[in-house]
Amino acid sequence: MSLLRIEDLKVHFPIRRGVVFDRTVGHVYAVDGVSLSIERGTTYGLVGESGCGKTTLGRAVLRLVDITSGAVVHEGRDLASLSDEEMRRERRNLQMVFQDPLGSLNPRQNIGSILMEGLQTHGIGGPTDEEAASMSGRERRAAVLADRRRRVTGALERVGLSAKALTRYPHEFSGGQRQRIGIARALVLEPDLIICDEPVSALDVSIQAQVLNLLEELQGELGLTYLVIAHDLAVVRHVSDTVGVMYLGSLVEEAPSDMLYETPLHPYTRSLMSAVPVPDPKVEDTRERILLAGDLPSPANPPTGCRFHTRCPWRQEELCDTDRPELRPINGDGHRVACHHAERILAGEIHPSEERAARIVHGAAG
Amino acid sequence: MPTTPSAHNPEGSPVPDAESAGTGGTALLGRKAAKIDRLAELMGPRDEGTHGAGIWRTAFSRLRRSPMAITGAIIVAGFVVVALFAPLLAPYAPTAQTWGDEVFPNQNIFVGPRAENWLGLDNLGRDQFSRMVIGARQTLLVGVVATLVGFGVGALLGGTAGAAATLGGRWGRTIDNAIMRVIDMMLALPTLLLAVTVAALIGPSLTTVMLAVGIAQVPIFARLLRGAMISQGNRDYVLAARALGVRKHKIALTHILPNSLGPVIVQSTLTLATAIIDAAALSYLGLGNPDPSFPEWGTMLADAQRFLSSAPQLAVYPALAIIVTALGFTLLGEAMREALDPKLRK
Amino acid sequence: MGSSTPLLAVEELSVVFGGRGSDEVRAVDGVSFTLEEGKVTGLVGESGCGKSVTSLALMGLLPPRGVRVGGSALLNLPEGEVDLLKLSPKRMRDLRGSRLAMIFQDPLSSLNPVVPIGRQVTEILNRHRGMRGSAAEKEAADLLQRVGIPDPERRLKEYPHQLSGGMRQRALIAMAVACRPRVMIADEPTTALDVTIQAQILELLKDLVTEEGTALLMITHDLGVVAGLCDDINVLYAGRAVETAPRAPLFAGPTHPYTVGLLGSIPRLDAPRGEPLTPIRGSVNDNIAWHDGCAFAPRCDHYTLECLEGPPALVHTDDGVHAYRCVNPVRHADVADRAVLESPSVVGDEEESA
Repeated sequence: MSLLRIEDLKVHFPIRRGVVFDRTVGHVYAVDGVSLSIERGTTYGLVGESGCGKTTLGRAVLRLVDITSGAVVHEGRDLASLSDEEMRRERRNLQMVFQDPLGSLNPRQNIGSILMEGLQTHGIGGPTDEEAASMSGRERRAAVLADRRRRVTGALERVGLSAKALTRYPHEFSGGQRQRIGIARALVLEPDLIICDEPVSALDVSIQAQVLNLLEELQGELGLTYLVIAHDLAVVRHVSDTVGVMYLGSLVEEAPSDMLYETPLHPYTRSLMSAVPVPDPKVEDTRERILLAGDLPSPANPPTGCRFHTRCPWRQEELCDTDRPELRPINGDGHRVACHHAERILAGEIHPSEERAARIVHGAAG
Repeated sequence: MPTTPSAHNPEGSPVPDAESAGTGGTALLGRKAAKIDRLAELMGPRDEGTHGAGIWRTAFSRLRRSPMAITGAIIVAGFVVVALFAPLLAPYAPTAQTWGDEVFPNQNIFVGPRAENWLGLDNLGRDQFSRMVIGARQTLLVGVVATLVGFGVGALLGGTAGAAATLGGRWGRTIDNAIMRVIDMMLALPTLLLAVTVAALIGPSLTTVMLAVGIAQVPIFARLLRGAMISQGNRDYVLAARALGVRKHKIALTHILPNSLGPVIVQSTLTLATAIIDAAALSYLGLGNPDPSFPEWGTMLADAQRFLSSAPQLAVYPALAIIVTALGFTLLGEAMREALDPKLRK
Repeated sequence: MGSSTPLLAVEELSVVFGGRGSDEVRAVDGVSFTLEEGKVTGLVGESGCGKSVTSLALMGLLPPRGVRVGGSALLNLPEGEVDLLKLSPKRMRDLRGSRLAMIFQDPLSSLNPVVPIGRQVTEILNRHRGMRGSAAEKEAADLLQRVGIPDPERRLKEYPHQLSGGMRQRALIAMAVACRPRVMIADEPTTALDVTIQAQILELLKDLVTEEGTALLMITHDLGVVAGLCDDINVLYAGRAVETAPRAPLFAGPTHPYTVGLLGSIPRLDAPRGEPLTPIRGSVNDNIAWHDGCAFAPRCDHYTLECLEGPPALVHTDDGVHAYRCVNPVRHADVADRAVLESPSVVGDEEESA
């Protein structure tokens, strides 16, 4: 059974207007019907451009934003139906690493207090009940404190920082070190799932690799499960076992990482992939590039039918602008795609039209 | 790739791990040791030193170098010392009309500064210097209590509104709206008019002045704290605390509030200055302490206006004292604002 | 290459902040490169390497006080050569916009929020090309059309916040090319944009360079962008160029350990999955000062005692196009064998004379 299953999740933010009384004049369809499941010990990568709802999805799993409808099932329990207090307790099993390493650390807390907070909140650490029975109150408190210290130092060392960091403040560290602290904060609770929201996009390239390697190592050692959310397809593909591509609030394609790269089926995935720069002039000069026309439509007023049809170079006369495609399995092996014409695109029966794209650069030989 | 694959290199250790130099002789080892020593020497001093400097401490060290802060602090410190030790510093009793037979206001005969009375005598033949010194005490009391009233009530209202708005969901927004409309109404009244109204309601006394001036400051503190809390509430570390499962009231008290207090504390020093001026104004208007045994700068100023043409010095001393004190608090407050401003922090 | 005289020749540019005895910061420390017509020169590096300061120095946009700028930047104009670093502020203002143009990272803060796009474009046409009224408006619409903004007449009346990020960057590029500048400086022009929009903008820049013969200085941290766009590349580290080469040799045979490390740090879309990244350890905070030795040495896997004895010199390879600032360059025959580099007989000797 999968560790986390998301079923038809919807998060709609009301748009309110009004001088005295707030009137709801519409909704931003940030996440609009996403279903996916994450297996224990694997990494699920969610990729998409800004405004596609990937961050909202990650926050909805932790109920940091209000869920409009749908289910988030973790170990047989639907998180969406828990009370606030039950959800608060559940958060020790589901943790999050944030994009901005400095912004996500309280500037007035030192590292020790930042890492301790989760343990205190959830009452983790301390002697077992039998041991505690024979202790006085003071001894017990000392034992709890010592155990929590040990856990905090352990987590810090796992992320490659020394216990000396405990008394320092966030602004005294470099970006990469801060992100390590953010990871340690999540790690110290020993969660089942860590949601990494753009874990490396605020970091320099050389530091990015350090953090990505660290995440991988921790997964190997502790058997962690990750939901990695990022805009960078190369990063997501590098760390993930399964990749889901989001566009305007819904999942357009999902496949095992290698398969997605080998045979991207959805037109959006294809264009996205062709837009990612590769640090190799030979590849850059020879590959085919499909430049999409225009911008992302507003999520407050999404297009009818397939959300991508307004920019799709493969768009057909039938279905695309009227019926919203379901995410459906294709070819077996866990490849799912939400496109009416996926088979015909794969078979090469439909070609991208030059008029609908801003430009198509055909791969020049040599 | 040239580097060791998947080597996990913590950022903290800049010196490469000594790899197993099995083949090399002592020369090689010595060379390696030398290069590591040399690197350590070149990088040496940077890792020691600064140990857990919090934001307040760095702000304080910046304050110490600001001439504005130093000037302000000296004035404020001088004022506080005078106020605290007033009975010891005042050479005479402030109410004793010891030299009553030397001053005749109706004949325009006043006594200016002289050896025994440094600032001369007032219209009733009392020692002006002693009255100024004792008056400092009253002024400090009014300023501090009024600011505390404003700060306390304002922070309570603003803090509740801010916490409700950021963490309370739908209900919270309603509470926030209700509180803020009340605050808006208070803000719409001119400060002095509000103070006059309060003073008129409960009669002239020192308490009236303190309450009136304090209440007038409430909306400023409330709005300031609420705004700061809402902007802090949208920061990622608050989200991180929620993701950690920290209880909402604890988030509000231990995360949002401490980070929002900076501007409020700066405002309170500035408010001290305006409170002193407002209190003087109210006393001047005759709403202050009617008891002449407690001289107060504002009352003194009010009393002196009758003799402005013949003895302007009687008005100048308290006026100067009010201006300088207010300036001191303002300078200190502005310097603190600068020191705490994150934009100026590197 | 190298046959024609360069449009802009930057020699030993240095920018020092601070001074008066207090902590001096050498943001740029002797950077040299040239810009040629119809070519793209890239400055690549991470935060703090001095790439943005370089562009500001060339545009004369550094604050007038507390900064010392050294070196020269000779711009080849039809009326003769001028040194950008020594021009009067007034002359510089005339050059900016007409001969030199700059595109910034954040299009929203580079546009005036309360003035319609059209007015902002026509203002430039008015100031530098003396165009007025309907002629200027028509030209502005043409410009927007050229940079790929659909329905330009309507867009001209809109305010910056009404445009999307990609559109704003296009509008900014339209303003930059309004006077057909000879030299264009783009400072991280696509960092704030999504990948698909980034691809559009890069394509647009490429077209401008090939069609107009503009010389483009591309400043970025993204080696992928560089690989697709730049002809010549300078890799900067801590204010100095550590490696300079045309793009093919640079990517085929990176020589400086920093360049090698950067390339090893980037997850590649086309690499087989499971291939681990090889990051550079530490962070820029670990640097040592250039006058003590190689600033990169503390993060380098190849450093030796020679690296810590004064600043390393720029070494040119035999073919003359590839240059690196390193005592122990990575050579591709023996990259995997670090023990070789450690042994004293190999280290340094032949490099030091170079």
